[in-house]
Amino acid sequence: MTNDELKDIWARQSEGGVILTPEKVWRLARASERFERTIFWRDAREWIATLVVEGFLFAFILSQATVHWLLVGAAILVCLPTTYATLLRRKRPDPNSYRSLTDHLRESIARVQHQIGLLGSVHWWYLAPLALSMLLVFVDRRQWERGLAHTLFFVGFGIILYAGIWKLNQHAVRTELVPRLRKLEGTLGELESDSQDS
Amino acid sequence: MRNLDQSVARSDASSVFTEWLQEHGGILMKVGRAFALNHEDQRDLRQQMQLQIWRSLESYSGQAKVSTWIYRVCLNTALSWQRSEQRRRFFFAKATEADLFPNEKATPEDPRLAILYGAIQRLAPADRALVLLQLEERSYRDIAEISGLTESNVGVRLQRSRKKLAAYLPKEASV
Repeated sequence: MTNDELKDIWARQSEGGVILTPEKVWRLARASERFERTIFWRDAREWIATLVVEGFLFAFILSQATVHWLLVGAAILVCLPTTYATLLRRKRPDPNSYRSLTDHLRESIARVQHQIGLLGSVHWWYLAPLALSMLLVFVDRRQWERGLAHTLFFVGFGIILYAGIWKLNQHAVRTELVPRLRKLEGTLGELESDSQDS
Repeated sequence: MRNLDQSVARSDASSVFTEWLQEHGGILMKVGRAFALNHEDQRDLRQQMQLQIWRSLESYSGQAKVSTWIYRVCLNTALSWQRSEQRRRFFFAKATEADLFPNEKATPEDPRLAILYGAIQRLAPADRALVLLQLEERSYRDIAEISGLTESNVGVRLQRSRKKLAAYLPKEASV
């Protein structure tokens, strides 16, 4: 097979043109909207869950006869992770598919690196504020006075929660994000390395 | 062939999308087959490409040819494609099933085409993209525009990709 024969075989293949009716386009558009709506509601659920926790905390604070500054601090700390995550999410939109391959790959790499960084530092921006807020509640409510078993349970629960969330995030980095990053970097490297050689 | 203005009403987008996919649906078939190994994955990738074309439609400025633009969107989608998670499949399965590609198995194909696709699939993703564009007889200018390389680099890069492809083809075939 010569180069021309290959091109001929290629050109003669059945193109199987896409036959779209308005109804099919409408279904595709609806599926796209439904998917985006799902993403929106997933984010909204995170927010609502946080607001409920904060609501309870603030309601409890307001129900007290005196101001408990430790609890106020705990409530503020609980607000931080969600706010930070939302700001970061907005800062890095999805890569544009209509750019050139190299630009798209660079954008995709930057996005994956950003996600890896985000999950790698989850203990600073998510776990530490939560752990600190639990500690503040613990101190404010003088939980240690309820006995050693209670204290151990409280601390143990905090450690298991902390370790579980940390491990889950690092598992996602190791099994999904890092292989994806390597693949994207490899592809960009393939495209660019020969260009630089020439 | 109609082009899409910068700002376009969604109803117009729908008819333009239909028209473009009828005209250039083959691009999705070819890219899907070159980048995904089995039928299920190929369908998944085609769904992703359709979706990306639909979502990127408003960004089309008319500067590039429609087919060039569609190739760019499809190759970008293929290069960063991952097998979809269950949830996304659930959303798009009904909307973009194989019924959009009814001619997929309508005619028996040249057995040499399967060999060619087999060789393309063994290439690295970047080589696959370039070889596809070359088999489509795209100009260096088009390939440069799609890939983001300069025209002079495209020539060098294609030569190397062709050599790699030749190595994966049976001995009687050469590129």
